[in-house]
This record gives sequence, C-alpha cells and structure tokens, in this order.
Amino acid sequence: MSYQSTFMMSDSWQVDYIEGEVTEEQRADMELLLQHSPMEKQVVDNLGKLKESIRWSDETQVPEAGKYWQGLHMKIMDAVNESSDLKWKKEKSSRKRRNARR
Amino acid sequence: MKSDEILVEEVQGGQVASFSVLVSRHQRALLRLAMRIVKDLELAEDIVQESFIKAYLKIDKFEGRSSFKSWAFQITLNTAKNKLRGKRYEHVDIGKVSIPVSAKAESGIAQAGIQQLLRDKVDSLPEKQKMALSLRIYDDLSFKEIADIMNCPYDTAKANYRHALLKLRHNVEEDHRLQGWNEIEFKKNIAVAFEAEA
Repeated sequence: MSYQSTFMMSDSWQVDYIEGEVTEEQRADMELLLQHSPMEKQVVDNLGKLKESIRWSDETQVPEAGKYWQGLHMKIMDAVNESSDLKWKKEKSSRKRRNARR
Repeated sequence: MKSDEILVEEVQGGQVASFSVLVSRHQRALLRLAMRIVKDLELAEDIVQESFIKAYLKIDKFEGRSSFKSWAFQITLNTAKNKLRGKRYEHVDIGKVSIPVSAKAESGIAQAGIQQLLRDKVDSLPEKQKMALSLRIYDDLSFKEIADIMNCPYDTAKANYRHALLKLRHNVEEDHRLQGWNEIEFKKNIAVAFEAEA
C-alpha cells in the first residue's frame, strides 16, 4: 500500500483531533483510544510538536516598534487618500464627458 | 470596538476614517504575510500599501461573503505573487554561511540548521498544501478563513492542510538530519543565543 493511501486511512483523524475539528462524540472516542494506546498518543503528541516546531521555524520578522506601525499606517492612508482623490476626479471628468455628449 | 463589518459599511458610505481603523487593525498581519512571500521589508510594505489601495477602491463591490480580513489576505496574497512573478529573489543558503562562533552559540546554530531544514520541507510542499499550512500555522487562521482566501470549499482547505502536515511528518521522520527534532526546546528567536554572547 502506498504511503499516501496508508496515511489517509489511518492518520487523518489525528490531525482533525489536534485541530479541534471533531464532534464531541468523536473526541470522546479518540480520548478513550489515546488512553489505551501509548503509540497512538505518541503520534498525536508528535503532530502537536511538529506544528509547534513549524511555527518556531518561521523566520518572518516584522518590526516591533509602535512608531514603525504608525509610520506605515500614515504612509498607507496617504496613498489611499491620494487614490481616493484620483478616483473622485476620474468620476467627475467622466460625468462631465457624459453630460457634454448629451 | 466596532466590528470590521460595520467599518466596511461606513467606508462604503463614504467615511474614509473608518478605513483608517481597518488599516490599523490588519496592517501587521498583512505585512507578515507579504514578508513571508517576498522576504524583503521594503517590498512587503509596498505590497501592503498597494493591497489596501485596491481594497479601498473596490470596497463598493465587497459584498461581505467572506470577512474583510480574508478578503484583504486574498488581495495581499495575489499582489505579492504578482510582484514575485516580476522579480526573482535570492535566498541565503544558511548551509553556505560560515560564521566563527564559540561553543556557547553552537546550540543556537544547531537550532538554526533545524529551523532551516524545516523551512525547506515546508517550501517543498505542493503550492496549495503549503498555502493552507502557512495560513493555519503562521497566521492562526480558521479553516473557514483559509477556504475564503484560497477560494475553495471548507473541506478542501482542511484536506490541503491535513495532507501537508502528514506529509511533513513523514518527511521529517525520514530525514536523519532531523533526528531528535521533537526533543528540542523551542526558542522564539535563535538570535537569543548570539545576543547572549555579545
């Protein structure tokens, strides 16, 4: 059996479990299984750790300083206001053209 | 605090000030998303700015079928992808970087190596799986939000994530360089090891 079909058959519930994507009834069944199967418990624990380690491996860093975010906010809003003015001017000139045609 | 829905309605009614609140609320998450894709702060800022402009100009057409946050994520994602198409970015191969360090920093370097390997494994996932995984783990989004951003059904978003995580588990367990990965203590930032040296 291929690796793909094996994991789809046996392991997908473990992901759903750690993501909280199970019903109360399923959760109760799974917890019972985990209590009696140290191997399954190990698998579930490792999936949780894998998630944590992927999050930890993220190298993306954004500036922390409040000043930086205020500056970025200002820059964005300046650009938004400018585009808003342009939009307004465009609408005004197309209205003028339409009126002239009439 | 006003909800995004109310703020969007106010912007649609002509109140630019309400858009300012939306920018303030979401700029950080969007910058992180853009940074993850282009790995360049200046370019990421441009992408976020462009995305907010697009959102503002198209807000009349926003019908609220998804949340504003999902919509803004989708716009930023597409804008970042388009930028990347136009420009190739060089990434530093950490394996090729040689830095003289003392023994104290060695554990930090070992961790950096593991971090890099994990990133490589995430990068090697099929595009949709990688996207679902990134949005879930890095951005803490719900499967509903992921489905809205990826423009796919809820179950598809979940399946993409599930396949990604299980494939990663398989790849990590098979890789002898990552032996003991599950025993390391996670430090938020490996720079801590270097800072301690200074």
